[in-house]
Amino acid sequence: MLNEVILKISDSSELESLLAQISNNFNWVIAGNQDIQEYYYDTFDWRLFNQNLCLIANNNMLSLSEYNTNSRISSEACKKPKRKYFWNSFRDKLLRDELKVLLQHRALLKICKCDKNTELFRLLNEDDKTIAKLSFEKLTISNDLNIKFDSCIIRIQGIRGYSKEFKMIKNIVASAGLKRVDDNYLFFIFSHLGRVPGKYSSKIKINLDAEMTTAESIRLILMKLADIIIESEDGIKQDIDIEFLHDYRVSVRKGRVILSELKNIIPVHIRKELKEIFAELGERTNNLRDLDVYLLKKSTYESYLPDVLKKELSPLFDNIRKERLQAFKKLKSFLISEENKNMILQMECLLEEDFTFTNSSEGDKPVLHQSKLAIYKRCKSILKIGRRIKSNSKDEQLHDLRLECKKLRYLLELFASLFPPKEIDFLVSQLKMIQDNLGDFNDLSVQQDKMKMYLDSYLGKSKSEINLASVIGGLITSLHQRNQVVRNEFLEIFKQFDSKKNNKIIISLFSS
Amino acid sequence: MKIVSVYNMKGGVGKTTICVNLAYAASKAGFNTLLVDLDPQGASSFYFRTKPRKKFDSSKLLSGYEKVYKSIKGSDYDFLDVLPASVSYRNLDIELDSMRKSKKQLKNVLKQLKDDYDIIFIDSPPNLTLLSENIFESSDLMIIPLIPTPLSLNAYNKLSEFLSQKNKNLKCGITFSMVEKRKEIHRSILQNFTVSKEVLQFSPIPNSSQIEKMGQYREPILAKHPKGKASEAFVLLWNEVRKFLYP
Repeated sequence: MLNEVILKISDSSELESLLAQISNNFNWVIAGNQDIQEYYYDTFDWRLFNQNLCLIANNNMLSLSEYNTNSRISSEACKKPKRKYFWNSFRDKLLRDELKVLLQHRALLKICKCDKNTELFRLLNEDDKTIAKLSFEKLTISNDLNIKFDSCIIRIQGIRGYSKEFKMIKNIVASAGLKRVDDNYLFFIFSHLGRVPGKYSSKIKINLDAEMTTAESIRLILMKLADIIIESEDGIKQDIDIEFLHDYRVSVRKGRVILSELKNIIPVHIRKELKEIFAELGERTNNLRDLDVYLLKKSTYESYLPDVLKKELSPLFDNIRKERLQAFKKLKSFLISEENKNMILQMECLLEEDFTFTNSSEGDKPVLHQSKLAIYKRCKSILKIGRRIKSNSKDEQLHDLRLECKKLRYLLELFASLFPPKEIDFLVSQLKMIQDNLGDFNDLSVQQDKMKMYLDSYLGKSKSEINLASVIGGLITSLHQRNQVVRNEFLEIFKQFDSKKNNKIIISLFSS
Repeated sequence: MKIVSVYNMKGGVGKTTICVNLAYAASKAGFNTLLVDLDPQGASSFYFRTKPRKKFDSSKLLSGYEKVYKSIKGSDYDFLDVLPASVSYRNLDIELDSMRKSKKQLKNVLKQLKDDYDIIFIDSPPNLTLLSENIFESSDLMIIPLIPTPLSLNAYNKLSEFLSQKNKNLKCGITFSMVEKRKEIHRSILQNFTVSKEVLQFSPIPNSSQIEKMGQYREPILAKHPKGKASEAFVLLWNEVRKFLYP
């Protein structure tokens, strides 16, 4: 940190010795003693930590700071720290704006509690002006998993405008030979709590070696995916935020894609059983995810409607919320069931088995070769289907293309480490444009069907039902119109993807 | 970012005491606070034991963000910084006079600190000059401390007249300071004094021996005697100011 030094010490004797050395240059006075409790927050995937940020709450104040410069970004009063926060839990505009971008749908979770007993000292110049603050902190850090550890630190904070004096203090600290932990203080705190800070990410990064066998590479990839599935379960069961389920499902789908796209690589029974497990896990979670997505669409739906009809939408979303609660309960009871536990155990056992024991030699071939084959095949298929689509083609053709694109996207992400990052990133960005278009097209089609389903379920007996039916009718019309717009945009977007440049990259990277 | 100035063209009315304590109260409430001491006497700077950088002077103050930012000093308190006054501020009027848009120079400098601070308090020198007009232009709220005496009210009336002609949009609030309720004249003025509806009337600050001793211990009274009567009055005043700034 720029104006802070944090020293890890074993006991108060080291403090006394440091103060004795400081007193050769500066006076110091005791400025008090305080006990405070602090709560550290971050998302499950460490979005704050990865950006050098930390959110700390105590019984008065909740502040977001940049921890390597110790500068506070924003704060607001807080009476009792909560178990979790979303970006819109905060009142302060700056806090909301900053966190909205970072967190999106992720919740900030209480990572740990820190009981801190602090003895405060002020270091003074000849005018008795404080030129630095020193605190001796006895910390007891604990979390909900009953992990607890004690530590002692000395924190010295420089005061703005007194950098020369702070430099002198830093020199004294350096000559005292104490261990500095200010560059990795948060890591130091979090790493004692059973999870490696910054490690979890839904975007798995696997460094594959081009010469590694394909079977071994697939095992590595599947193991990482399985880790995410297992790690996400708790968050889904506790309904912390919707991203746990999203990460879970993306990993399940990636698992399915890799098993279906790289055939004859691993033993048949392993492939078959894993495919069945992934299919089952995907199926079980479909409904809840669909309902999560509908709830996210509320403001979009409102934007489709004239002001006079917007409030009439509430009963529909009340219904969706009720449905979601049912779906959540159903999924939770599955996740805690023996059936799920056995399935996960079976998945882990299968991943421990010998992947090389096959009748074919495909699994022994280098992963670079096999991944190129799989990716190139999928690229060709996308170009073939896409080129056939005309303005009057059936919707099904677009849906088929969407699924193909998804497969290609997953393959590109999973095998990214084997190819030049710049080209892969570019290709992914090009693919993403089609995916966004086709994704919107699919969502709008599915949403129309769902709205139609709701419409059919209303009998139109009461005035509120009639109002709601008229709103849904309006919504279906808007969804349909939007769907047509998206569809009309497709041909131009695909043409861009099918450019000479992209075709050249595809051939140079993936054709053997 | 909000800018609050504490101003009166009359001296010895308690401007510095109010400014120092309001800045402290704001910082305690979690606002990133800067006190800008524009009075060359440097009383606010003295209370916070801060001295200007050797290279800092009136021309640097008007030269823009970087030199001003570099000259800010941390106080002994969290979230409270001070831009100490320089004796050279006695030349500020001459320098302002030679500049284009001479009444908006201070505002231009201070607004560049908007990403660094939530609130700025200005302690003003006691006169009515071009610098004062810069202060008027900069302020979201100007607090005018008044001692409940005829002389002080006379000065206020003159100021009101000036402001009503030249700075109609400036939001002002008065607070009676150094109030001694045992004095009949104080009681009478407090009872009978009224302000126009555009002007806010904040709670008064009592006279107190603790306040007089601030110069000895060089700390805001809110820090030294947080439970005292004077502190209670400053807390009340801060709450009223806060309510106005952040309704």
